[in-house]
Amino acid sequence: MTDRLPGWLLAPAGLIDYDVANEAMHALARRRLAGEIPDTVIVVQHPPVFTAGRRATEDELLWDEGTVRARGGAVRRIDRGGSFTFHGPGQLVVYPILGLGGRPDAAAHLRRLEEVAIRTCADIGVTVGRRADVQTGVWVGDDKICAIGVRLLQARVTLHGMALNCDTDLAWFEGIVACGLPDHGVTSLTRELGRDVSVGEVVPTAIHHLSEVFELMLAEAPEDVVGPFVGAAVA
Amino acid sequence: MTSIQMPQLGETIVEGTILKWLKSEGDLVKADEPLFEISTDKVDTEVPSPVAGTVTKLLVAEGDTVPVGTAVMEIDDGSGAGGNGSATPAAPAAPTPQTAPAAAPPAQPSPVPSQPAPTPTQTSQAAPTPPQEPAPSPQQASLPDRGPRSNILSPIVRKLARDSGIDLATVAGSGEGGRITKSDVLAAAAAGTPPSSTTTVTPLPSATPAAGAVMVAPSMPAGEGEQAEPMSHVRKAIAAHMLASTQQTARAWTMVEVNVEHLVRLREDTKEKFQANYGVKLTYLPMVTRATVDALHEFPLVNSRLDGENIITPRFVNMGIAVSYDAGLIVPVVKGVDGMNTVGIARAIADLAARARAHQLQPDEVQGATFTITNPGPYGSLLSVPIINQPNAGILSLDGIQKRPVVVEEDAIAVRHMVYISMSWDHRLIDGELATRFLARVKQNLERWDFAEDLGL
Repeated sequence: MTDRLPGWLLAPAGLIDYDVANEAMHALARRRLAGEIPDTVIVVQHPPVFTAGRRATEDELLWDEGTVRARGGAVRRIDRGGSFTFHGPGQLVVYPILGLGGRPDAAAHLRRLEEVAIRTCADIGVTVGRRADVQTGVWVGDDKICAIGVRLLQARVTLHGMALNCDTDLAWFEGIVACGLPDHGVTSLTRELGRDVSVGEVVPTAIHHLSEVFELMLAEAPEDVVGPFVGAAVA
Repeated sequence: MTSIQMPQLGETIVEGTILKWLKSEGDLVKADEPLFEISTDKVDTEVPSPVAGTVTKLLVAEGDTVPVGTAVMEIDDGSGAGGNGSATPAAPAAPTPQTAPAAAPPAQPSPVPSQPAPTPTQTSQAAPTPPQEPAPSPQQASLPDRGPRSNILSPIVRKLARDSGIDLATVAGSGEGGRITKSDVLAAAAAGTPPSSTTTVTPLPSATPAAGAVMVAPSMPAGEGEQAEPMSHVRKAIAAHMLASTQQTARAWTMVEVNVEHLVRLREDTKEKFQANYGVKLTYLPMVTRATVDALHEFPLVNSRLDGENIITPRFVNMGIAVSYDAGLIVPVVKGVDGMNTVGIARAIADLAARARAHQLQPDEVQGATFTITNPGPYGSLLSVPIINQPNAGILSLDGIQKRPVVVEEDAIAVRHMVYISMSWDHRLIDGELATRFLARVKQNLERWDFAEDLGL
């Protein structure tokens, strides 16, 4: 397809420290805003961390921070839209850093993220869908399998993105009111299929659909961009 | 004076919350400097200033949620008296701010922005233009941003546009977030949008009614004793979809006759128990669907579609079921129908049909069909030649079941319940032998299967 924009792909191996990834993501977004780099898609896994979006309220963190730390997790308050969510091993996290241009359509961006998750899950064998009646994200019935939260830099460049549970330890979600929805659960590809579905299995499919849906010709990012991530692998 | 409005970050986003003011009254701001932060559902953003000047007034409080287009701040940019100027920073998704979630009428050609929107500067200015800082426009950056229509273009849309020589840049999107849908392309194709030979973008004249698009015949307005009524959006979409199918597929048609005597008996014997057990009516459609799904697995090409010069063959079956409702025709999709038994299919069809008629289907419930069944039988048809629901390779028609005298074993003539089952199929993808073997398999399934077990009765 000739009408695809060239883009960079960063898919560092291992678990990437949340703070390092978050900082690198913002640095890349600033460079994207300045037009120095093309659209860039980061695909990572994090060590256990609860992140609170701008709409999160403190009572949605059900464990105190001491408990979270004792279990090997961390809590971060960040600048994306949405409420509390969890990232951790077994979860495929995607941060597309895209220049939306002068007439950004944030809603369309959310729908695209959902589309990537829907197509990816379908290929793995799980039928998922949107729940326009509940919230952005991708669902299996009443259980969310893919959380979505986004921020725009200067209303032009996208930050943050989506988190798809592959074989995430879902017990972590007991620590929060996920996405601010007390009456809805979470699930994973592993739970839905009754067999272990690793992030490694899902990554190639997800990257394929990311390039399709976001219309990108993805090539590996150059070393100076990958650098911070390599150093950040903790496991 | 420039009034800053709550920006529209997409057509479906109708309001936003001011999370934080980043500038106070009296502050100097440069163009593109962040003014405030907003939060809309799952998206937060800073809003950059469209102009340089001094903040004179904050019109709403932090934490307030206001409709898109509401003035939230005033900046004195030296453009003179009176608050005549107004600017929606960063993201004027519509020329006029909308405060209601009015869905853009599909296929209504609105003036298409010819280029990525100009640098967001003030739109209306008083005569003496004040010295204004040249906005460092990120759009002039070395690497291109997505255009104004930051849309998902499905492969189907792309292919359709390619096939019909439509320049997508000239097509106004009616889908979610301005997305260009198949119907938009079909409408444009029907309207005879000239194939683009250059990349120059010509806005469609907004005076051309899209409805006229479908009818290229000479105009014959309503005369005495006649009534004129504009086509509904649904009607237009159906018209464009059907017309495009007849123009773009190589349609052929094959029919088999099926003896459904034992199915009729089974249904008569079990329909009450079935309804009592499962809460839905037992009809022939789920049985035919089940028999068809099996045949699709046997002959996967019938379940395929064309994408350019590639034949895409899904490993799964999503069955489109044509449903008529007050607004016209809709094809909800039973996703993953190949994982269901006849009871599951009966329930899924009943649910989708009921919600279709109540206008409660979600968009993804009418997308993704890999094959389609239409069922005009209950209305009394004996034989139908349906139009293929693109991009499917075929559409199967279940017509009316009728008692007919037929020749049975040993050359006797007997009265049996018979039905014609036929398929319109795309000769680009499949040939007569395959189509016929497929239908023969459907026939064999229906005549030989014992559905009683599958019905759990």
